[in-house]
Amino acid sequence: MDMPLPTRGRLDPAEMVQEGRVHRAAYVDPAIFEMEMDRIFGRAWLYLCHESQVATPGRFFATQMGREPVIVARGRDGVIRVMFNRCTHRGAKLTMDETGQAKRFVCCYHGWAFDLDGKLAEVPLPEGYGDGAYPPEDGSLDLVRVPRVENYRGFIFASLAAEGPTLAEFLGPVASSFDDMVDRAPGGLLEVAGGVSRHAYDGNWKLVIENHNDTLHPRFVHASSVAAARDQKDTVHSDGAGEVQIKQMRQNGAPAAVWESLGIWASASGHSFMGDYHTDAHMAARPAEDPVQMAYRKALEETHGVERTEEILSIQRFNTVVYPNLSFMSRFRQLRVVQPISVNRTVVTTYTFRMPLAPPEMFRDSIAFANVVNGVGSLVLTDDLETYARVQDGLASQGGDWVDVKRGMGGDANEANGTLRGQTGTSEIHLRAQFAAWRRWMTA
Amino acid sequence: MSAVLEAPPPALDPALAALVIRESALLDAWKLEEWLAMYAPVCAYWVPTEWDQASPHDTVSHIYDDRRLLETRVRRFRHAMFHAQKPPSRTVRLVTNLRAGPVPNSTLCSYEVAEFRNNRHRRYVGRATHEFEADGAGGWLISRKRFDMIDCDAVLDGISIIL
Ligand code: FES
Ligand SMILES: [Fe+2]
Repeated sequence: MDMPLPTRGRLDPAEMVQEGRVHRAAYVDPAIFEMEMDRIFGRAWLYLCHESQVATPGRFFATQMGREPVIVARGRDGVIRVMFNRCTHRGAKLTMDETGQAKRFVCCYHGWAFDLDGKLAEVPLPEGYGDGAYPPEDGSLDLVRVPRVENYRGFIFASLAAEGPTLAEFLGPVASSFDDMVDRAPGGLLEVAGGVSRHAYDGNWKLVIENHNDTLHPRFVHASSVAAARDQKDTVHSDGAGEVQIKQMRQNGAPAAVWESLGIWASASGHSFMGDYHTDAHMAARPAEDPVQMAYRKALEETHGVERTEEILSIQRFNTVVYPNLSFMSRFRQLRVVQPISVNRTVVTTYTFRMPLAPPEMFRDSIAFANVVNGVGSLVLTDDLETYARVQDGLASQGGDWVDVKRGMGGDANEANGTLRGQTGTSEIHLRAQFAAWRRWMTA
Repeated sequence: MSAVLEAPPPALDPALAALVIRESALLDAWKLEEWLAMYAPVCAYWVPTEWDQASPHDTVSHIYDDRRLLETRVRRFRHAMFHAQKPPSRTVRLVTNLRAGPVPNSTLCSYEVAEFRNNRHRRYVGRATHEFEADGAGGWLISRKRFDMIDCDAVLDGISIIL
C-alpha cells in the first residue's frame, strides 16, 4: 500500500525519490521547481557557452543560469568573466543583446558605465549622488561576479555557489565526451556557427533531459517519420539536405536488437552517455569511403597521426547528458542547453559547431542534421515535443502519484571508468542516476 | 531604398497570382498530395531562422525541404502515429498585398497562417516568396517557396503543419 505523501508544496524531496520510482510532484509542483532553482541550478556547474562565442576582447554572450541573467565577457586582458546582467544602481538589465562586441556596458537608465571586467568605470553627474567619490574606489558598486568559472577544453561552465566540487570532479567520466568532440576536430579547433535553433514546450525541464538518452522511445514516438522516410524513393531530387535528414529518420527505425545492444553509462553526478546507433552504412553523416570523409580523416591524421586517429574515430558515442541542463552529440557536433522557464515550460537552445580545418561539406551536413534533430519544424522533433506535453498533462492528474523508472534495474554494472553501465541499451539507468543526483542536491 | 521605390513596379502575372491562392487553398483543405503536385521536380520549401537569411546550407532553418524531403513530409501526414497532429490542426491562410516578386517569375505577399489545434490558437505571420518555372505545357510549377516569419528568430513551439 502506497503511503500518501503530504500535499502540494509541502513534499519532502527525500521522500520523493524511492527505489525505482519518483513522485510526480517533481514535475508539477511549483514549489519544488523553485527549490530546484535554488538548490540545483543555484549550485551545480552550468554550461554557459563555448569560448569561440567570446573569442576576442570585448566579445560578450548573455544567458541565464537558472533564474539569473548573466553576461559572459572577455576582458581587454583576455580573461573570460561571468557577471550578473544587472546594474548595481537601481537594477536595470545591462544588455538585451544575446551576443555582441562591447567597449563597456552602459546602463540605459542613468548611464552608469561598466568595464568589460565589471568595474564601474563612470557615473555621469557624480556630484549629485552625495558625499564620497562616484564611482567608489572600493569597488562596492562593481558588477557582481558569478563566483566560479571554469573552462574544460573550450567549454565554459560557471557555478553560482562559492564552494563545491571542481568542474573536473563534477564532470567525472563524462569529460571524455568533450574530449571526443574536440579530438574529432582537426587541429582541435571547433567554433559555434550556423545560427541557433530554439524550441519550447509545455513541460518540465527534466522531460527533455530524460528523453535525450532514452533509446526506447524512437520506435513509438518517431514511428511516423521512420515509416515516411523508409517509403521515400531515393531517386527523387535532393540537394543533400533532405538526404541527410531522411537517413537520420531511417536510422531512428533501427531494429530493437540494435538499441538493446547499445551501451548506456551513467555517473554518480547524474550525467550519462549512450553508444551510437549509426552504422557506417546508414550514417546520417558520410560513410568511410566517401571522398569528403577521406579528406577529413587525412586532416585528422595530420593532427594526431594514423594510430591515434584510428583510436579517436573508433569511439562510438551518440549523446551525452551533463546534469542538470546540457545535452550534446560529440560526433555530430550538436549541443543543447536546457533552460527551465517554469514548472511546466522549458526552452531548449541548440548550437551547431563547425570544424574550421575539416572539409566544408561536413558543416553543410551538420546544418541539415541540426534541422532534423533540433529544428522546430522537424519531422522528428515535433513528435518529441508533443510527447513531453502529454507527459506533463498526465502527471498533473491524480491518476497515480508515481513515475516508474525500473527498466533494467538490478542489472546496473560497475565499469572501470567510474560509471555504471545499464544492463541493456534501453535501460532506464540514466533516469535513476539523474534522480539520485536530484535527491542529493535537493536534500543537502 | 528610394531607387527601388522609384523604379516602375513590375506587373504581377495573374496566372502566378492564381497559383499562390490555389496553393494556400489546397493546404487549408488538407489536399496535400495535390499541393505537392504544384511543386517542380527540383524545388525547395524553406522557413528560415534568420530575417534575410542568405542560405539554407550554412545556417539552420526551421524547415528546409528539398523535393525528396518534401515528399517525406507529406507522406508522414498519412501515418496513424503522427502524434503532433493528434488532434489535427485546422488552418486558414490569409494571402494579401500580393505583388510581383524580386526575381523573374516570382511573387511576394504578406502571408498569415492561423492554426487551431488542441485548444490552442497560433498565428504564423510574415512575407512569402514564391518562385515559379514553366512546366513545359504552358503552365507553371513552384520551384521555391520561402516564408520569412516576423518572429523567425524567436523561441517557437513545435510546428507540425505545412506553412
Ligand atoms: S539603474 Fe542603471 S544607471 Fe540607474
Ligand atoms: Fe526523440
